[in-house]
Amino acid sequence: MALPSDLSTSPQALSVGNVVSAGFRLYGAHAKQYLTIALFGTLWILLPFVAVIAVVLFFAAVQNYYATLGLIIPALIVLFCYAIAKYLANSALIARLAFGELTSQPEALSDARRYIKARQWSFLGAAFLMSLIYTGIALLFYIALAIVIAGLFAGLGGFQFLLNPTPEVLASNGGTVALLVLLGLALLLVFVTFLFWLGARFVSAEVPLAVEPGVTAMQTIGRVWSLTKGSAWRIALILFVTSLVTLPLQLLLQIVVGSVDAIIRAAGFSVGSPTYTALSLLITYVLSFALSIFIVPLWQVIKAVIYYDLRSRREGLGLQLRDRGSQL
Amino acid sequence: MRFFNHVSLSTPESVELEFTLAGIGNRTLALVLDYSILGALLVVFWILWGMFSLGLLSYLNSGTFNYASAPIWLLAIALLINFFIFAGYFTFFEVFWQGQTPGKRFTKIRVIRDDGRPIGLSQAALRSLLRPIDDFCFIGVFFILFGKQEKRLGDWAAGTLVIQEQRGDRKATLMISESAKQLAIELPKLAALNQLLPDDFAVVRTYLQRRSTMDARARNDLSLNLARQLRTLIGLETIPPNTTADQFLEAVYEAYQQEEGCLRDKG
Repeated sequence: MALPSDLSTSPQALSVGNVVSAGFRLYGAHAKQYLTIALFGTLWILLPFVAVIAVVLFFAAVQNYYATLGLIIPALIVLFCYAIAKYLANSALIARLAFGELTSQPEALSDARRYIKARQWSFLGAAFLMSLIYTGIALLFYIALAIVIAGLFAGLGGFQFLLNPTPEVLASNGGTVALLVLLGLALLLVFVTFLFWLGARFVSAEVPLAVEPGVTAMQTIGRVWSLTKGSAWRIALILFVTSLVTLPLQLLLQIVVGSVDAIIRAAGFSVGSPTYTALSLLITYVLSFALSIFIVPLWQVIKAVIYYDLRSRREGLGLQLRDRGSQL
Repeated sequence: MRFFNHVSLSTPESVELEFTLAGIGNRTLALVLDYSILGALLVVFWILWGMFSLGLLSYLNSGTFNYASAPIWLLAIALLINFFIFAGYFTFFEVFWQGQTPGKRFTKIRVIRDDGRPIGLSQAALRSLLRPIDDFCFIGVFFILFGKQEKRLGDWAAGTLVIQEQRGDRKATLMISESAKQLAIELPKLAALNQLLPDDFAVVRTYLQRRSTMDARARNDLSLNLARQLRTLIGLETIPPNTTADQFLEAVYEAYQQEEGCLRDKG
């Protein structure tokens, strides 16, 4: 008898640490497949950058045909959207494959790819909606902050000070000024905490779209919002622990970037020369893209485990009596 | 595939024991908690030590001693105590709490020896002394991630493993309604409860444990589904009138548990 997966036989809710461990374990077991997918996803993201550089170089060299820009720029925008959609779809593919493993229903890569490809534009739509939500919230916060600070400022007689600014007035109101600054900082802290909370609530936003049939870009966000209800801080802790574990990797990258810099300098390029800047920028970018190839699958798998765990907590996923029809 | 690493040990009495290893997530979380506590302890120590030093120096100032080397000695002693607090924190707890620190207790993991016995002073001290290399040079995380037994350097040196504690929440009491208890008394006469396997029972129990935090609609669907499946399994013609799916599940849980209890008494 094959060893059963320990998740499906005892559908216990996973602790924070176990979500992270299961994510790493799953990643390790399918590293080759996930890394290949992440590689292609990252290449898609690189494509528009390469195209923009090519266009810029072309015009810099030719210094003519500027009229064609009217055509080239829209084409670049379309290419950019397409590349983002491809990147998101590849990331979602990893999450879908991981979820299949978690529910002990692994799927063939080609099947999963077909499923994801049909929803490619929905992933872009969902990402667009999410960015709208975040932008809206950030705007709201800044407006609220401005109103509060300006209101207090005016209420405390700040405008009179502005009309007649003297160092004496400022000195005598030093405490008030300090209080205002502190208040602003406290509000900022509240906002950052709120953003963490919000990020945790929306963490696996694309996973329902990648897993559940018949879910639209709009519904996938609503799904995640209702699933994460009451679990935000636990999820935030999961994300924190995961990023801590990846810290050594990031440090390693920093060291590599640093030593590459040193090598470039040793090769005879002087600091500050255009070639040096271009070279070191290029290498830093290439290395960060390379790092993202390794990091993206990890986050996608973690998201899939979080989603799996939420479904089993909130909806009892996997809780069913085994079908014993054959024995009866 | 299995989502956690396992080890099986054979004790000197040749008993096979199977453990689930702690995993990188639990160990990192435990470390974060322990370092937070330790950091707070060290801050308190340095504040107290600072106050003590200032007091001492001002006392020396009032006398006629030559105390030029006193500050450096105070600093040296402080650094030494700092080291003992750091190393002592882990050693103390791992020895007296049988392989657990506050962080490990929270995350329900434990250090044991390679043969399954609880760790002693020498193991705890070795683990604690190698901790700076493992933690601050980030070597431990690679050893844990890529090693089959998830041993960091300190674990290799001391011959220890970090495992998950066996879950103890199985016996947690569940809320069983009165009407379900009534039904549970009649149920054995109406249905073939012996058709239930322990796995089925575990599913019902998990549902009852988890239902209070479940999404209302999903919970309704699930309880109806489970009740229907159960009814077929135990060959019950109809669910007694005025019984909700939840009550029926509670009744089956209660009845099955009592039946099990009877069997155990007879055996």
